[in-house]
Amino acid sequence: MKKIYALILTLILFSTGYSEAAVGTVSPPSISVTKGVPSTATLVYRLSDVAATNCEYRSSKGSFIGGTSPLLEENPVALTVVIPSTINSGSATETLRVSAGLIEKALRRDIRTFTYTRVFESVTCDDIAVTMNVTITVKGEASAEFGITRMELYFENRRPEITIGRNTPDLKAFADVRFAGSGLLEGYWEVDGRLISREFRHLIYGRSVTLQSPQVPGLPTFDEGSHVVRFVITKPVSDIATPFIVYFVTPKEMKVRQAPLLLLVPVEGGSAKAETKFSWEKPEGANIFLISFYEDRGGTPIFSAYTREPFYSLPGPVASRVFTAERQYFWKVVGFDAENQETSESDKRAFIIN
Amino acid sequence: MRNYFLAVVLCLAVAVSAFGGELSQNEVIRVVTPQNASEVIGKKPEIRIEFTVPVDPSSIVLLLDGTDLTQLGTKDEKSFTCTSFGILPSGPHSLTVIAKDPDGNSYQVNSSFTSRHTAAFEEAYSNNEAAAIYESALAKPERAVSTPYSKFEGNINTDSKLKNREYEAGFTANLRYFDQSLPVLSTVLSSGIDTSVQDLSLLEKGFSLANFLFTGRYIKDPFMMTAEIGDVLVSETQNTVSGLARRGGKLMFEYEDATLNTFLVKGERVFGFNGGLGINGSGDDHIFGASAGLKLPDRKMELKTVYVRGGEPPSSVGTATSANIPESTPGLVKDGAHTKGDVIGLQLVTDFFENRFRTEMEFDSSRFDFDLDDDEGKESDVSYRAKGGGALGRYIYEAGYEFYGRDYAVIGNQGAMKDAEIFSFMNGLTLEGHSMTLALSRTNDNVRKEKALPRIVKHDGTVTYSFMKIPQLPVTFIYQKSLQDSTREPDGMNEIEIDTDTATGSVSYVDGGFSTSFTAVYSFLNDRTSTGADTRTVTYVLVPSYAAPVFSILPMASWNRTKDTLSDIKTDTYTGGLNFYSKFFDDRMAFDAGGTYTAVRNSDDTVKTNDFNSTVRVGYNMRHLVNWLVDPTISLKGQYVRHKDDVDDSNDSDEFLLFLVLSTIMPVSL
Repeated sequence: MKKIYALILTLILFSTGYSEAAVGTVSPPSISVTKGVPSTATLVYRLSDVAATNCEYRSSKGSFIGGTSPLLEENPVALTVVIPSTINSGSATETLRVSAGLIEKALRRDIRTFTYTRVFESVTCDDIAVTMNVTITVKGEASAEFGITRMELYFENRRPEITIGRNTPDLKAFADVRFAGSGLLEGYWEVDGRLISREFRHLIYGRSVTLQSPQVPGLPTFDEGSHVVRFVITKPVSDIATPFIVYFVTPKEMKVRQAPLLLLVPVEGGSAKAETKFSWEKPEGANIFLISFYEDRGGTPIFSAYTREPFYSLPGPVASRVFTAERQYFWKVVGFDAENQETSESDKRAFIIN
Repeated sequence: MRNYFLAVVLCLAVAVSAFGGELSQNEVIRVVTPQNASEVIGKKPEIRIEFTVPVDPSSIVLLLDGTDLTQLGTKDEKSFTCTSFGILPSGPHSLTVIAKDPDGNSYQVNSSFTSRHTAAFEEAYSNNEAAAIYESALAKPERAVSTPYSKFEGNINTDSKLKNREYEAGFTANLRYFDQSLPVLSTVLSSGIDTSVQDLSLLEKGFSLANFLFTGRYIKDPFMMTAEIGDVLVSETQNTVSGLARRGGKLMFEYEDATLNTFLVKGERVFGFNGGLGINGSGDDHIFGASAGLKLPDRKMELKTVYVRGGEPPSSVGTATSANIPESTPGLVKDGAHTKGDVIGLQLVTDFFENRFRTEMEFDSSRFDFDLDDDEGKESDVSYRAKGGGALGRYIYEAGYEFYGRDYAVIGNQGAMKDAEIFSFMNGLTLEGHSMTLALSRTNDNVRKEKALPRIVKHDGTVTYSFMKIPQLPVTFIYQKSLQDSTREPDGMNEIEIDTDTATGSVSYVDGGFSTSFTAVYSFLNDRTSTGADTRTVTYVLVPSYAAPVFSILPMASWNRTKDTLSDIKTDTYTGGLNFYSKFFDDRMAFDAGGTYTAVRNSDDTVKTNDFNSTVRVGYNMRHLVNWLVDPTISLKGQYVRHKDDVDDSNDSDEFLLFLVLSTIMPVSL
């Protein structure tokens, strides 16, 4: 009988204790941050199975604690979970900012994993204190989970805006994407909310990559006015915002886009000397050509010539004095129409002077 | 300078070959206009040459500022006449004429002149254009809540220049006006994707200054001073400031082979009237820099030193970072961390062997505060790099070493490498119709061997081969291999072993206006750890196109398959695109269209979407009726957008919108 009383008493005590308990969970329970990169995370604190209702649980501050080491830093922002009268649970959301300095402070103490702790206490209903922890793991940029840490969009003028004429060919937008870790990037280019093209690319640790909007289908330039360009990343799932840039198409008509001008002779890596005939295909509508010679692919011309024919022969004095034998040069041709407007352009091609 | 050098070289060459001739060069070749050392007024001055003895017309060569204009002129045995192609910039010009008589005797004359566009100014123009676009919806479904019924946009563009004697001034700007019957950026803000609050300044109602640039220049050989205020571009060295486009000012001095540059710009990218001229403010939100350069001797060695300091606030337009914080308005976030720092750098470039062996060395030291809002101060670190390379006939090579300290960071160059050590080697060979390159590199992070972090070592190799023997049919193949392994893993951390293979092949065919290209890309990321998070992606793209003077059509089709081994899910993406441009009836009518179709499917049937969007425009250009306007056009624009999701149809849409668009440009040129 005594045993039965003892059991009943135990059950009463347990149920009383249970009724005063509350279960606290935080989501996500762990996050990872990258060395040198400040980041934010949205944390949801949930209190459930709370015996008392219609009361508030308050956390006056959050603390970053590094293992056995002392307190790393404190977050003075208070947070309150309200338990309404109808249900015995409630939640609060916090945007936690992990500064680059805090990460640095941890690394200096050889701490790779630390904890963000909040203690919720109710002063109005009971004396229960619920502690909730989030584990924060520091990773290097290379070893971090694949994620985007920064994105910058720009046009060829390196600015977030550009003004162009109607039907300007080959308008390009660029996205400098800085990332941590390695993985498959999936995303798409979008103009005025309309999907233009998709991008799939494995990014391997290397800090940043520059993506370029495709030539076909290109950014539409036949529609006058302002257009908003975005590169939307769908994978990896990222907390960063999606920036946008704007191009403005004026009503001024440009020439209809032309096919690339095809260089014929000399072929890539071919030889040339004085009087060598440089030739190319004559595109429809092109009347005058400018042939330019370069010392390297990205430089300025060292010699140029205009011609009405789809070929040009290097004059002897020029060949012998401007060019050096056994050296590689590059050539390129631009076509113009009768109104001296550019209609077509070739790639640069390498040749060797004999 | 190069042009003068070319002229002198040519002069010497021909003088030697003609030495001993019976007539002097000037007696045979006479530059009638423009006369030597004269000043001409005009934008396209006539060049007239006379020969006192009959010459072989096919031997005549005329170089204006080093550019061969021979084939633009008319010539016979006695004379040659031509004008420049396009407007000849004002200032000094060189003229070289070469000819041979029927006996093979060579003659050459060098001449110089200066040109000015008007009697009052060497160069003076002001091209101004006011563009206006009015758009009104003729058909719009009720559910298209983010599409305005009417929209008006304007743009005033100015490009002006004044140049006289040693002084030169220029001004370019674009001033925008925007208004519509809905709040701006409603499409962007209703897309469900977070947007940085600073980007909203890119499209606001009312007037907005898109860009501007004042340029002033003083030239008195060998001295030149250039001042720029507005939207400037600053580039110094690879590991300091490179491609920094900001609002602010630049001041550059040149004296013979010495340069001195200074700049002061806003730390963040701005748009509109925000930020004024960009030169007022504190060191926390501005970037200041100075560099000095010297080219010695005979420009075969270039020494440059750079100093940059300042702060970069977290509000650059068109930029987002992982440190963003949600604003009270859903979908809007405030971006980034406020950084501050300084860097000092030294760069030496040499080319003593005419491109056969060039070297480039750079050393930089930085102090950088990664977050002004925390209580950590600036971190100091260094970077250095050295590379040597060149071209030996058909063979090119380059080898380099780069070191970036753990805390190396540069204000204004957020993409700069840090915490890495790189060895690289590249060589290539170009044969007739073939070219190939091989590039190898080794990279590791954690240069300080920190115990809390692993060291990741990556080996990369890339082979590129191009077959171009048949110009109409170029073929390119690229294979890349990347091996990534972790070492020195701290306790509790899983090792990293990732191999990535990427193969790309492309073939094109070009014939007249027709061209087509086919590209295939295969990429496999092999996670060799027990996690086995492999991904595989393969993409095929076909782009045929045809272009003629009055129309061009560029369709494309692509298929991509991505496989996630961990989940064993395959995702297929099919994309079709079309761009079409045309003008007919003497350019009075234009019909243009563009569109994209995308279908996405995955193997577990959880994704099944179809997206189609297209824009069609038919325009009538009335410039033959209203000749005081540029391209006054009335057009009809149709937009069709369809989104269909066979798994979750809650966001399905099917919209057709039709707009009437009136647009024109009013030119005001002086």
